[in-house]
Amino acid sequence: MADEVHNDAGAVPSKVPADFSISRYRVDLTARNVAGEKVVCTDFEDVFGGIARGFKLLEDCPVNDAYDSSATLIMNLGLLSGTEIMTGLRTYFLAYSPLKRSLSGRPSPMWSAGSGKFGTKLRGLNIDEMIFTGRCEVPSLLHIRRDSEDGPPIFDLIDATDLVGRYINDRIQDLHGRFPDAFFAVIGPAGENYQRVRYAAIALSTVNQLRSGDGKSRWCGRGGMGGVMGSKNLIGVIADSPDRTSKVKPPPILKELNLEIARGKGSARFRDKGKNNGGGGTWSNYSVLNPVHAMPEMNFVPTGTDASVPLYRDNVEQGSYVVKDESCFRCGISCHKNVYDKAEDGKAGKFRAKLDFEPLNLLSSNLGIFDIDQALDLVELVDELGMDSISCGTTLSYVMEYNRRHPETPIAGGLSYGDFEKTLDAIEKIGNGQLEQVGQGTLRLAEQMCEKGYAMQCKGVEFPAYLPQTNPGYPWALAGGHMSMRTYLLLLHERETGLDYWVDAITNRGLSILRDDFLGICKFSGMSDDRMVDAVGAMTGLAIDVSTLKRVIRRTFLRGYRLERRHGCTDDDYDMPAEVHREFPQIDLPYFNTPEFFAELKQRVTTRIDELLLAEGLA
Amino acid sequence: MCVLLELPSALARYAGGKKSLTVSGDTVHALVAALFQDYPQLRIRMLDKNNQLYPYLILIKNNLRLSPQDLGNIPLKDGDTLEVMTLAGGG
Repeated sequence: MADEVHNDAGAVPSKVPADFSISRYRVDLTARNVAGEKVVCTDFEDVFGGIARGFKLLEDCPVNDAYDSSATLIMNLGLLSGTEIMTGLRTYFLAYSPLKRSLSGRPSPMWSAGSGKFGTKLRGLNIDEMIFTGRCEVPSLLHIRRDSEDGPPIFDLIDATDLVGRYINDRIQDLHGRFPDAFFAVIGPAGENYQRVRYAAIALSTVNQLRSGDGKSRWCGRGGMGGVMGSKNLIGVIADSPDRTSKVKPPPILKELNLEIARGKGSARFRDKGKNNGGGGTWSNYSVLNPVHAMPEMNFVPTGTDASVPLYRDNVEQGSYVVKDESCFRCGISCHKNVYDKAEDGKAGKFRAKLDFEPLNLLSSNLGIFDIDQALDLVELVDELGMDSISCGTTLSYVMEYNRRHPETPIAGGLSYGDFEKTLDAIEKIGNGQLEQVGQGTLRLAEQMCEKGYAMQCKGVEFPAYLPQTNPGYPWALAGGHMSMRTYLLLLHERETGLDYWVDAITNRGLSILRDDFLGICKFSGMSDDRMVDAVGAMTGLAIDVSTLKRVIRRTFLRGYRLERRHGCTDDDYDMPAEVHREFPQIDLPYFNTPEFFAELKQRVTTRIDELLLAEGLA
Repeated sequence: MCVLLELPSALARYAGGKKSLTVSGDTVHALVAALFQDYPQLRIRMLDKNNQLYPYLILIKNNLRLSPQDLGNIPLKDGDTLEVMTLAGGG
């Protein structure tokens, strides 16, 4: 694919999938063997890459244990990853998850994606896809480089024993010193302790991180992809190449598209307030969800009070902190809200943590912690240990809720809401594999404790920081409720409670969020399908229209759903924790997700998906 | 005064699918009242029970963000553009 990227300037897109091929490398870590192949694309899914192509691959390599050495870990790019399209930075990891599972116990298909500059470097190495199997004999790094600009990639496995046990940023900075042209995908201690931590993440290094020395990675967090990498004794991948300079004149539309991404309406919510009327990023969810008490507190049961107000960004900035909007490589959105201690001169001093809404909320308000300084410590520690902050936070809140209900028989050292010191200690232990009970995630822990009614997860994947009471679409999300099913804020914005509406939301509108999981663009770009078709045509020459793009999105969802079913999911897996169906009067949004409503919704959604599978020839 | 009103997708669904439409009003308050007359389903999606704009909606007049406290007093003139933007999003 890398060879074909860039359409001739101004030419009308005319290529069909068969005009494209991809560079795929199969890495057998046991045999220390890498086999490359040029694969001619047979359909749009092949051309797009990411999960569209990844699901097709996963169909052919089922496993019963996500950590089996024969299990497949896919690392690939989307069609626009590594191109000059702004936010075209995504790298995808796909595997059968150690966390997501059916009730039968079989691991379920999962992916996680991140930005940074790692994907751009992979593109520069002419790599579209890597498929890892086997297990390294010792903790290892895979170093990928080229001897010449047009030469094939060269792969070396390097002993990484010296990195074991070290924090994420420490190991990235170490690697940066050794490989100054490279960017990195690495796991942390949690990934090394994969048997006792099922939600380990993969960190991708960023330009800002390498320049500043601060822990500013981007994350492929969800579903335990870091654990799968760890189970292969692969500590990280080094994409080592000089920055590529395009040999082809960029298409004239590129500047226009990038301007739209940087300043247009689609990304406005994620920009800073001072940048063309930006909305302030995901952190602003605090000040818009909390007033209607639709924000998680105390294991997803809002207090109905002002307890979380000190965590609003405006209030944090009035204190002893500076918040800076920083960005991934060449991105004008600058969605990173990096928090620094305020120095004596009033400027940014020591870097503390990057705050997105989800990590902040699930590691503070949802644990009964309302102090920003404590929240920063918790977010930073989870990052440094290489864990998914959503799964970690939600599992901790389950523990706290369990202990509240069972004060005589507490678990996990008696963690309780608001206890910062014990929470910090628990996180350290989880990441280092010393608290397996919590490291196994909410579903497994709840099964062990025989109390699943308030275990805030579907199919083993913990809920993000949007109330499940307001979103009956969570069970059909393929890879986490806010990254793979766009139904999580619909009730707030549209206030619809009818069955027809929600069936359509889950089986039609909600799927649109999957588009950027194969095109290589960040979801924050907010590009319309029309403009995305323009971008694909301009950058690659692929002839495609909006209806075809939508069909690929639908087919990709259906493939993922079919994989779930083939891996043991039955109707019983598409369910929600019983307590989310209760009425919570403090939530100032319509109450509709009753047990009866959900039962009927589930029946209709299942029927509709079955119809779609049949229509697409995927039944 | 004829003002160009731009709505986000979530609200356009309740304005006949129109993402931009021309609405009359001398002030923001008057414009919104006229809007609700034509598209009554928008009211419960824009105003809370105290008739205040929901905190997840912001108004931008001619590329200038308006303060929620001042909405009623903001004058409008022919050719102005008023954009409604939704906050809240995940990632």
